[in-house]
Amino acid sequence: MQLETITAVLRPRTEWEAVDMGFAMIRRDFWTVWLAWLLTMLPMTAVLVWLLWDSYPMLMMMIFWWGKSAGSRIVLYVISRRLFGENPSWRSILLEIPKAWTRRFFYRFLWARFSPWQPVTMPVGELEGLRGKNYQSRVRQLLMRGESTAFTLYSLAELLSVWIAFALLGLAIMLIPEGQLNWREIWVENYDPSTPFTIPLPILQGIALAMMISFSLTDIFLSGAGFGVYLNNRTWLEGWDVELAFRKMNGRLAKGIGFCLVCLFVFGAPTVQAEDQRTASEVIAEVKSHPDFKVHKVVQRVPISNQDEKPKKSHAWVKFLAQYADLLKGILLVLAIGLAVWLIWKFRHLLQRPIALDSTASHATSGQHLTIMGMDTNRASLPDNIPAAAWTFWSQGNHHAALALLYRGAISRIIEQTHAEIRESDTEGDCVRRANDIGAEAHPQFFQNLTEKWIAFAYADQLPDETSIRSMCEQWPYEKSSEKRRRL
Amino acid sequence: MEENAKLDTLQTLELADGVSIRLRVSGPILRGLAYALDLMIRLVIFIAAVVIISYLDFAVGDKVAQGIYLLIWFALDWFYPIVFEVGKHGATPGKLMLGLRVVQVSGAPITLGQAVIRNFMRFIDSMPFFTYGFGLASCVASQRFQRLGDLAAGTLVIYHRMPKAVQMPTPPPLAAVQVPVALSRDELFALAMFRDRASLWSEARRIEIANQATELTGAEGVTGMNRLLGMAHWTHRQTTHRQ
Repeated sequence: MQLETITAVLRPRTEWEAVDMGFAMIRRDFWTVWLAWLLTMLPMTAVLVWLLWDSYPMLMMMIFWWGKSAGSRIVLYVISRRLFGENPSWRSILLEIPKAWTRRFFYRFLWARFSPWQPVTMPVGELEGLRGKNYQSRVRQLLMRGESTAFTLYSLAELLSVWIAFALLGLAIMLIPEGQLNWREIWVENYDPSTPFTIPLPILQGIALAMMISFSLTDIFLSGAGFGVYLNNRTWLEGWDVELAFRKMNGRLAKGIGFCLVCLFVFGAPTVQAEDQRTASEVIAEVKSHPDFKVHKVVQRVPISNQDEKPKKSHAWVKFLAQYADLLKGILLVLAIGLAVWLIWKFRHLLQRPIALDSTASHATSGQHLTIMGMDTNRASLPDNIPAAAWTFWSQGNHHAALALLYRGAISRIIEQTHAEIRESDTEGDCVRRANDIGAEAHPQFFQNLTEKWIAFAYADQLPDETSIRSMCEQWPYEKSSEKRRRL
Repeated sequence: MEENAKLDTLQTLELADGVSIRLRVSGPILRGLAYALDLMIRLVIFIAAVVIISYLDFAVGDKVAQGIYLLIWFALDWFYPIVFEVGKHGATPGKLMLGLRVVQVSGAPITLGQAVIRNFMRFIDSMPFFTYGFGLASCVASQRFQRLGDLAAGTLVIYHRMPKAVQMPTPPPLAAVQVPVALSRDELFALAMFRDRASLWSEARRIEIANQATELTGAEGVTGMNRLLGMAHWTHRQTTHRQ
């Protein structure tokens, strides 16, 4: 087995993902697989139709169902080879068809035919060629994972066959023009009152045909899904994905070491430098002489026409406008005043701001910025004793308010006391950096610690422990200094 | 290139910050089962409503009651999936039970508009005659198992529930061995996989796999395997320490 040439991504999957993987494998080669399946079933179907179409269509359908194992074998043949990078030719597929019917006939078509795990166990017999005891132990080991999935898959596939047949009949009824084929009429025409419980033959034929088409579709997908589960189980059991990854890594490392040696030889050799003796300006000139660097200019000139014609044409307009010159002047004036008023009204907040600052500005320095990261850091919006207020919030269980207050207060105090240039657009990280720049006055250690707690809480929802909050409230460095300053 | 051409059921997406995520797109079978579960839930709701209203029959009259039944079924049929898929879990109860979820092709939660398109298109998907034949065909034929409604709305159904990790204790290696070269993410992952799944394999198989990495370990056989386990242990410790 050549793991390198595998054309699917190996990965330990869940069981249903393995089933999906099988579907994807079938989808990739749907037309090849379906055609191969139909070709496999063709001889048997021809005989069946010839013998039973007019007499027992349901029996025909059942025998067809029993024989679809041969189709499954072909599906397996095609997709397993495609998986390992081979592209089986039609010749080889056609040659495989008789083998699919005859190889281990009694086992495949009688003994194992009715096993619900058949889609998963089939590759063990078909691809690994195991028999007897080896086969048994292998199958037991394989089915330890996803046995129930295999069983569910099989039951659902049989159920889906009926369902899809139903859908196909529905589609036929939808697409056949009205009046061409009326099921009720067919029923009535072929209904025999002497045997009231038999369904008329044409109806049965229709059902049998739809079922057979449906089997052809469900069986290829069922076989593909079974193979997907088989593949996944072997990936789990034998670590194919790990082996493949190691092989790839080995190749890379081997190549990588080789590459380094090459590097040494090339760049270590003095010849490389000696060769390049031209000056930089020469090289530049040479490069710039390339046509790609040519500067193209497009000059557009307005053709000067005969000047006499235009004034004549506009003359009437000018006269007309001149009559209403005063009116126009008035309108323009009104518009200009309106615009000015509108601009003032629109940008009134620019005018209001300094006034608002003045009213609160007992601390002149805090005036520049009111909001940082969307938080109001104005002194007026904060309590006087921040740590005490925060501790009250915390002990009330309002953790968010407590942390937010501490953080907001710290920024506010830093701006106030150190004239830090914290901008509205600054992030938490920027604030820490600015505090660091200022140095001891801003207590960067404390602030950084607080910022970490705040970020962990605000973005990751990680609540800091109570002791750290308590110690932060007790250590609160900003208030003391301001008090000191006031005393001084 | 070659890696992309390989068949996979996952859909790899690169996010804005350069991180790739993989969506585990779900195939038709589980989705069908989820639909069946939802159908049962809706039927139970409907029957309960019918029973309750039939007790109030004397108040509203037969014709009105029938009208109410029809309205209830209409609402259940058309709006039941929309309401749930827009909601917190992004999944109807049936999908939730089977660990599925509806997302945008980009992996983001779906919007109301998408939920509406997706579920109003059910009318087409459920053709011919409520058998969902069109939906099934589209689901199997499209690259990402999308039915027509999904294609129209740009949505996917993905496995949401994480698979249970196989936790089999591996014997602790004798010594942690430092990895001598820088390894890529995939290679580190393979190393971790080797460590986590080593206990599932026989000793012989373990050595066989470890022999594929001789460039890294520099030794074959049991020595190489032990060294590889040591390296896996070392990287594991490195990554857990960093956190």
